[in-house]
Amino acid sequence: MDSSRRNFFGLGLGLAPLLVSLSAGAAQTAPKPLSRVAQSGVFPNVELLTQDGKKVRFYDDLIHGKTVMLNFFLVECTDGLCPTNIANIRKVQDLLGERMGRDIFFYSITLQPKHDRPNILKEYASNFDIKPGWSFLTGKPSDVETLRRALGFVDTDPERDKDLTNHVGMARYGNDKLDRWGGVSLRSSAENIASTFDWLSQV
Amino acid sequence: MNSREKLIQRTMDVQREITQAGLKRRDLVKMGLLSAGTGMLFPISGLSLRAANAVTSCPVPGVDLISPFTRPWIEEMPRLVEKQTVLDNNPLNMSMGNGGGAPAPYAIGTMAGGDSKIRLCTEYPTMHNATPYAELDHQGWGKSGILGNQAPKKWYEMRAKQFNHVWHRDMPAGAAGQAAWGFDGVVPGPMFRTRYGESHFTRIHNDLPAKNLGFGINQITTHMHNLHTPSESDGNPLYTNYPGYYYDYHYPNVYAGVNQFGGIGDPNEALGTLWYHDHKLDFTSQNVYAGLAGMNCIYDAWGAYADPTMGDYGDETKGWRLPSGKNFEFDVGLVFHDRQFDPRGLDFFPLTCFDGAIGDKMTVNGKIQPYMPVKRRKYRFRMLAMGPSRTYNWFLSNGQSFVCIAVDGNLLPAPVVVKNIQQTTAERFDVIMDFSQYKAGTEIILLNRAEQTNGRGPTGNLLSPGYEVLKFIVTSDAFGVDDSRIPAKMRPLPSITQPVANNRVWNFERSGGEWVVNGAPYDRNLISATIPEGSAEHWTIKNGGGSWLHPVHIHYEEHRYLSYNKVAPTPLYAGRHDVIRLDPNATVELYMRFRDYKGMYPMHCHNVVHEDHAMMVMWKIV
Repeated sequence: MDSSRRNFFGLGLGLAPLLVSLSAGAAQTAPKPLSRVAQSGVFPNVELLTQDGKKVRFYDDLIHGKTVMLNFFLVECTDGLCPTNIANIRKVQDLLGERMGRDIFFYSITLQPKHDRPNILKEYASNFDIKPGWSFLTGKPSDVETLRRALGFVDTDPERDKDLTNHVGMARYGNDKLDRWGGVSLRSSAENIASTFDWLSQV
Repeated sequence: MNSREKLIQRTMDVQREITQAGLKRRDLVKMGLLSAGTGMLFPISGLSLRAANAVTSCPVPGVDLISPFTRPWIEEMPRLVEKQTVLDNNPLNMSMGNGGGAPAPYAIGTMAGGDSKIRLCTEYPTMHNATPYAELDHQGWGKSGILGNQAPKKWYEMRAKQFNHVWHRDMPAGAAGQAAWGFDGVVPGPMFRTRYGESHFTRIHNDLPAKNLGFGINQITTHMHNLHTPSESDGNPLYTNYPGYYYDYHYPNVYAGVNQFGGIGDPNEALGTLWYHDHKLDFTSQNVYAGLAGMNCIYDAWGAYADPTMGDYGDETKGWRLPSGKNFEFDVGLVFHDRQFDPRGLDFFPLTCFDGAIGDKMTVNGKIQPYMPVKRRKYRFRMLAMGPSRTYNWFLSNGQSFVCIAVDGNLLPAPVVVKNIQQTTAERFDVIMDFSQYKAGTEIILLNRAEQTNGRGPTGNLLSPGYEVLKFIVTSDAFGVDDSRIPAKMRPLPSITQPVANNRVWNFERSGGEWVVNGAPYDRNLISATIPEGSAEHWTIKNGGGSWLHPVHIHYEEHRYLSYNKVAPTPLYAGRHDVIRLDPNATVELYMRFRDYKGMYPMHCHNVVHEDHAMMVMWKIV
């Protein structure tokens, strides 16, 4: 059990970036060039489901060539941490105005994919009256776990790692075209978060 | 190898690693790595499986991710390039884009001359009720009074740019090297030798390309760590120098205490070994790792002390007679920086690791495990831990002690002799080593014996023998006369009797998966403390737990330890500091002063990965 599990785990993590290249090659068109960060394997190309039940590939469909912000959350979140963060992102969405969905995309990925299925995410998102350009995502638990670990939403202390609310504070933001990736706190002001996008795409 | 041979080699590499990982043919077909029809492995471009495995946020250097083998003691340690002034030290010879003319004592945003390249912080922070940099004047130049009257005497110009750097000739890139970012095209950047009473001016051009190294951002701000510098020239994380533009830094080079003591301040507040590095908000770790860092020494103003046996003049026949020699041959900067490469030798930076970035290759002045020929006399070494995240524990292979003369660049009241030196990120230690006692041919190795496997900090285990970082090889080369001394006494400590006006507590911890100070993440719209100029305060710095080490750096004026975990500091730590090695669960009491200039300054964790993930506060002197 242990060794097979380790193998499985290793595969989930290690081969994910390879799958990126493979799926790019599988399409009959010329493969799009990968950003250098993508080549380094930070973005597993796992399959996810949006709140509308649409199947998407994490790297190919959500990250490739885009400017994004992504965070983890869960619907049944203690202490009101997640709804506060989501409400804050909602304010950021307003501040970014028409850039949202045009050149900036937000992704909120559930930490409880078994529970947070697309229909639940859809209802959750509608509570915040989210606008286009922002997707709520779920998927196979093992895929979501792969994603969480690859993106670094982990605590090296296993006990603290089990507490899902330890992974909801930060958001990663980045520009895949320019290989620029940083982190910003979702507990900082919406203005603070929005202003990172002022210079993220500036060449 | 031709491209087909390379492809075969790569496929074999991957196959070998897959075998090691214990994967079966069936698994590979299922995963689409092996074609079921031909049994051929798909060629995997640019990646080894091991590297891919390791990139899951925080690989353990040397275990999850192994850099290519390089032979030790092959590269000679480069001396830091001595920074020269602009031609004839004439500001008219400075490059100004399409404007022309001499720099003026105003912030460049308001400078006459119509230079269309001038633009600063126009985005920030107009919407947030703060003053844009472009509206700030240089406080130390072009104003009335002693503080504002420090017209530059030395003019420098520096360019941040991309170039190829050879970390070691054995790396797969060979003599061609690989892309790095640095000042003036060297890693580390050039060494400035400056002097109190001789204000200097540095124009930093940002010539960095939009395409980065797979990490980094070509928007920079250069912090002079830890000069007594007005806020607008401090290199604040919010004051951005955009690509294609430049930013003018004015360093008054006055001692702290100008308002109190007059003249150029209190020489007992002198700094000595400083460094400059990028401080771009959210991107400091990536940009410093890319190579945007260098050193700056500052010597005493001539005649700073009436007593001719006192003073650090950069001349070993004067004052304390610290080792220097002609052209500073024996006053040597050592920049320690650990790096990680993937098995192909490509630069690796753990972009999604919150803990920190550590590597399995130790470099000194830009070379992996170099050697340094030394002459049979005394040297002053200025040791800098450039980070991004590692804490060292230095020993010498022959068991010899270090004669430590300065901590964080500040000369101690008397040298302290120690068997080992613990040095965390951004700290500086100046030591004197005397090689006259050794025969030519003697080899002494500088060892790092601290075990560290992740960004949390050292494990506490002492490695034996430890990692070999730098080899000194004693030569019989001539050096003339060694006029230097190991002085019995050096710089007196300034009195800290001024009553404190305020007590503040700052708690550094991890909360909700991010790094916070007093429970709050960094927010560029917040000023966390407003402090009247000239006042003294009592600060308590706490580590909120979780076995993390935080090297906390407070910009601007130095602090003094009142206690560390309720214990008074040992002689080595009794001086002035700008970095606190905040051990897990530690509580540190500090005496702080805020004299002379005004404006915004940060305090942050100098494990720059923590800094980039919100472990910072901004405070303001008013």
